[in-house]
Amino acid sequence: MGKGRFGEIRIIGVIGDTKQTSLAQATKPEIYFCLAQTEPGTPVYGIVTAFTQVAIRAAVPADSLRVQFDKALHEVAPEATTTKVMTIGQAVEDSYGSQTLMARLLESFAGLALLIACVGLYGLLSFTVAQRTREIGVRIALGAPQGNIIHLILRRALTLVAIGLALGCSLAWFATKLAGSYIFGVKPHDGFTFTAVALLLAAASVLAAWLPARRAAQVDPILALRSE
Amino acid sequence: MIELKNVERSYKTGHTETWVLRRVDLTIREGEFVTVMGPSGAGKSSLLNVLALLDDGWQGEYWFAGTPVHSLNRKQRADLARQRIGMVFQSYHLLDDLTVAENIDLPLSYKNLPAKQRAGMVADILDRFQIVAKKELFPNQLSGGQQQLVGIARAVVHAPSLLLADEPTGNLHSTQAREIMELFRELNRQGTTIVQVTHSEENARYGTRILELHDGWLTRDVAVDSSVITGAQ
Repeated sequence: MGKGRFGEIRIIGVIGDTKQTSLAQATKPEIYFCLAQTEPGTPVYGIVTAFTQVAIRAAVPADSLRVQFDKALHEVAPEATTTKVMTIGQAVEDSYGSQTLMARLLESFAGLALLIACVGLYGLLSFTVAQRTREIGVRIALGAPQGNIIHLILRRALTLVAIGLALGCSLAWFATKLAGSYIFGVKPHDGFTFTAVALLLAAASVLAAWLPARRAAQVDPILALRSE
Repeated sequence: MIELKNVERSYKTGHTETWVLRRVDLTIREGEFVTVMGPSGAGKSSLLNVLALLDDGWQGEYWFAGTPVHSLNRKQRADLARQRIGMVFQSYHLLDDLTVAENIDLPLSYKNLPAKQRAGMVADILDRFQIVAKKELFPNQLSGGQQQLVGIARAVVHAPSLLLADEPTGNLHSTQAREIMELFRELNRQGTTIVQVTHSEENARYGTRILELHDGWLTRDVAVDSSVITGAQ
């Protein structure tokens, strides 16, 4: 309760934080007034009636509701006009539309980065297999089972992937501080997200490495040893 | 130990088919030291690849110690080769980034043996071939003769009953070649059946029998003392 420049106001409750103009922005202090209890002529009345947002919960479609609302408004306040009429769904969507676009763009670039990383890994391992054809031929001639050759190539791939993931996760851990203002609904250092992304990257990398590894296991030892 | 019946091998190049082995009938008994000779392109290495179970594209019958190889699938053939056959190559084919001891251990590592047993077998062979002092060296730190010695040690470390050698002294000078052939003779005396491919008449004399191939045909089969074992085709 208090009596100041707005007259006597009685605080009847304190509500929790809510998002206001943007999901990305921090919650600012805000006061809710009851319009019906605000008396014309008081300083508060001037503020609350200058720009009034009206939210209506209704069972009828939005289009017919607007017609009804405009008609009712014209009856009680002929000089009043309505602007920016929209459904709650549109209002919510507008409030994080730019974030959605940003997220989609980031997803696209992340997907592209993953694809480039996989192609790079595939190329590197294909090159490795080509370089090690003689060695692979010797190993097969000495009795190496196919599984052993696949393991030999995949082990190298997994070592590279493990190093990449360790470096990537460490950098991401710090980078989330910079990206904190773009994140909503998820903690910056969310363990589940980090684990899921690392597993996705590892799975994609193993898939990229599998083809060269299979090709290595099918090296013809006679050709490999003859090429020496 | 080895019996080939009507074994043939050809390669298709476009619409033409090139035959490298023609109707080869051959019996090699346990404990023999056989030399395969012939001009380049005669089919010597192709025959060795068939015997080594590295090649699957041949037709005919191949019996190895009573096992019908021609009825086995790729995996079964690889298992048989892993257990019973050792290979020595002209170019040694040691792995450059492995030490002498690690190279010798390579075939053992594919046999699911306990590490301790493998280490013991490697130590034994290093001792037997008198290369203990070189076990930590890498192939590029060895002479050609020493590399081939390691190649042979690697081929016999798992005590194969059949040792196959493709031009084992082809890259060595005569003194080293004689040492390697003496080693082969010693391994043969200890019971290992040996089949070697060579162009050298001198090396052939270390064996007990010479086979000669021409254009894929087995044209001569003689004992080293030159008495004919079987008639030529």
